[in-house]
Amino acid sequence: MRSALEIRFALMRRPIISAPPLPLRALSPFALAAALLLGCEPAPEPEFASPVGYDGLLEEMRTGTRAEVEDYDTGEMVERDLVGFDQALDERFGSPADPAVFTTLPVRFSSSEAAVIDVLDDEEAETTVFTLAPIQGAETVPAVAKGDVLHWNDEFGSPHEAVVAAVEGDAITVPLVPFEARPVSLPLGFNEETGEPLPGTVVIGDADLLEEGRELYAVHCLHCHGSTGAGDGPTAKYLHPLPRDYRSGMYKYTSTGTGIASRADLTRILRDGIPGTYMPSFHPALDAEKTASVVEYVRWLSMQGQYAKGVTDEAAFTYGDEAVRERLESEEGLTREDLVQELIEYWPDDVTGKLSFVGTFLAENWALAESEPPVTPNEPRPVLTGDELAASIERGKGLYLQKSTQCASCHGSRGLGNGPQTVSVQLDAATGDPYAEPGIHDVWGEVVQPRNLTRGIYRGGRRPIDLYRRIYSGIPASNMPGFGDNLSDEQIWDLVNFLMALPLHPSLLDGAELDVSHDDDAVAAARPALPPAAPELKADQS
Amino acid sequence: MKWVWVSLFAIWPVAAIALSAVSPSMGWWFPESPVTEPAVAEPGAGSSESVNPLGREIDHLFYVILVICGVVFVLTHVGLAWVLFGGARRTVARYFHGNHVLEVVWTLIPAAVLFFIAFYQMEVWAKFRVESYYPADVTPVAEVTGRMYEWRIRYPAPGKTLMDTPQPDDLYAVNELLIPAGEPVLIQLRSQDVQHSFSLPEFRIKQDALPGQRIPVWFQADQAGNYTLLCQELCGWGHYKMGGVVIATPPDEHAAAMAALAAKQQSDGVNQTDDEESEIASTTAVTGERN
Repeated sequence: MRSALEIRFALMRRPIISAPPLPLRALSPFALAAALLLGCEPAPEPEFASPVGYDGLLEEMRTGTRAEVEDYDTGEMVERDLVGFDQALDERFGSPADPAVFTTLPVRFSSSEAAVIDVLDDEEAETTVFTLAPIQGAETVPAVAKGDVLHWNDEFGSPHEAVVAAVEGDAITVPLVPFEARPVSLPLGFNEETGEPLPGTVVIGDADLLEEGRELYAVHCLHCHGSTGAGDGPTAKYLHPLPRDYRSGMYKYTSTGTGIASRADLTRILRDGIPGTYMPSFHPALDAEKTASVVEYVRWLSMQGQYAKGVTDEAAFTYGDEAVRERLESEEGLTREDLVQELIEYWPDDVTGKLSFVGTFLAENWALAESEPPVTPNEPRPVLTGDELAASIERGKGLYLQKSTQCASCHGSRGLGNGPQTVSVQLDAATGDPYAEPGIHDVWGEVVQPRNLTRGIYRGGRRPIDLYRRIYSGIPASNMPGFGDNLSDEQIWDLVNFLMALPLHPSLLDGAELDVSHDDDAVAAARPALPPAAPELKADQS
Repeated sequence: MKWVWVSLFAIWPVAAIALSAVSPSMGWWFPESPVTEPAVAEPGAGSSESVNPLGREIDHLFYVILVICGVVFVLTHVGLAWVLFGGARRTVARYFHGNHVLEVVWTLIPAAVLFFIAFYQMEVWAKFRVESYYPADVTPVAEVTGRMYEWRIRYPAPGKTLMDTPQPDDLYAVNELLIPAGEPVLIQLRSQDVQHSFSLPEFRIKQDALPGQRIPVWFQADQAGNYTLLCQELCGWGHYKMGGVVIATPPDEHAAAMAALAAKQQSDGVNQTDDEESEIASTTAVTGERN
């Protein structure tokens, strides 16, 4: 690279009139070709960005420190390195391109995982022997060789690793593992029959499945969703709606009834795309196996974002920028050094404990999205034809226009997605201030357009069950409320029938007006569809 | 030095003939159709004969034009080489004003060749483009809409005919076009945003999709298999993503697949009816009388 440039500069410096000597002339095309082939410097390695408020935390909390602390076993004061958030996050997640193994999270990190069914310490030899068994759903224990690195978490969700010293069948010998660092299952679980704790999982080697997912993600997803999943890739700014920022762990079109998507939900989105947005279908470019590894990587990015944010928010409560300033101002004689001393004293609670708490909380939520059955109606959709169907559609129309459901306040009395809420100024739930522009805002602070129901384009899918789920659970993060508590299955199916008929017969809502005269008893208790906007703030645009 | 340049120009006719001879066996020729399902990726393993009868006629045209161009190319370059070698022996340039007869000859011969090609290809063109020349038994199977960056497909419900506008019982899919093998099928091509090009290399079919237009395209898979569907009009940054698959199956299997799709589409989460005879009548009854 350098020599090529030097030659080119040398060529440029020469007076134009005298031609360069023949050998140089002959070489110059090769120099140019070499420069073109070598290209620019490689792109910088992507790194996870710190969540808002992280940089405001006490410095010692982030970087860790060295201090005298009491030893658990002996009660003596010993000088120890206290691990800060920087190092803890790095150990647990690594970087987007080089994911670390952190088995607390319900993510499939690797194709070689095994369950630890027995742990035996040999104090004299200073070794520990793990007895391995196949993980659930697998038939064999993956091959382990001397020198392989094992990763697992302890009961507080801290990651540990060890190098295999010897292998004898399913018994793996590693250097002595302290009792509190033994592998356990997370979320903590017990065998229902025997009452024994469920075995922990060890991952052998690197997070190879995630790395595979990362490669596909880099090809297909990164240019919109960004290298850390923040929805800030180079093409993102041209898109509306914006690509999903995974880091909040919120997804709109889920079957779980919450913002957390199950693997099946993400797989379906990758296969079907999201009609009406820029998210295309990746079928058949990504087959089932490739889709699964991309899904796993996206879940992991979500969990990373949630984890870093969760830890920051927890810590900011006592040691954040503002909290520290307030305490220093309000307490006489309190200095920053006192706060650091306090932090060191409570390090196991305030730092280690928070890392563990946030991890288990996250792991439980994501595990629930897999283990809980998806939102399923109790009543099947009635098979209706002719007049019966027309009557159901009519009932659905009534529900749609009813004041208590407030459908029309966003979707409009003609179903065009232009209800009065789309032109009124809303309050930001987080800060209480009105948004700069009128309209309904999602949790990412973007204006969301309520669906135009006459177009027949449904982002979350067009099957009756998809529409049922949107009505039953709402659309998380978007202000579309769920009606599952207030409408019966029969009523939801009436609404679904109405919604499915509307695009084909937009005249159904001809001359329709919001029904304010009476409320159906069954939906009288419907909770407000939107965070209440102060009436005096309503913009006069309607 | 001049002999180097002369030789360089003289090489081309030889290279052209050699390349043409070698290409088919290297798989550089036509896109290959799979011998068996699923598609065989290995070059040279499949048949380079199109699965589409019309595609084979298009290939024939390709060969006719290739032979004409090849002969002209080789003759031109042999002539060029002859002139160059002759000219290279001389050292003094010579000027002459032109030759009227020569001009007329080299205008008339290409014109005749062009007229021949124009008339010769007319029938194939008509079969592809003119509706009255379509096979009599061609069935419209789906409406295919190009969108940045995917193919959205709308099928009529099993047993119904494809209508211009969406129907209550239509079936929807993306990037996966199911067709019956062994019979001519027709799709209506649309675009939702910009120009796309619906291209089936193994069928030798390529048709631009234009926003605001509905363009019929027919083709036929003589053998069952999975075939490539591509966008071949640069449509934006995600153009490369815009791939799909055409799955041709024997008519009975195709009917079963469509019925399964219909059942899936009607899923209410409770009755997961995947069986063929399942009723799909639940949304079929809203009729035009409301309007």
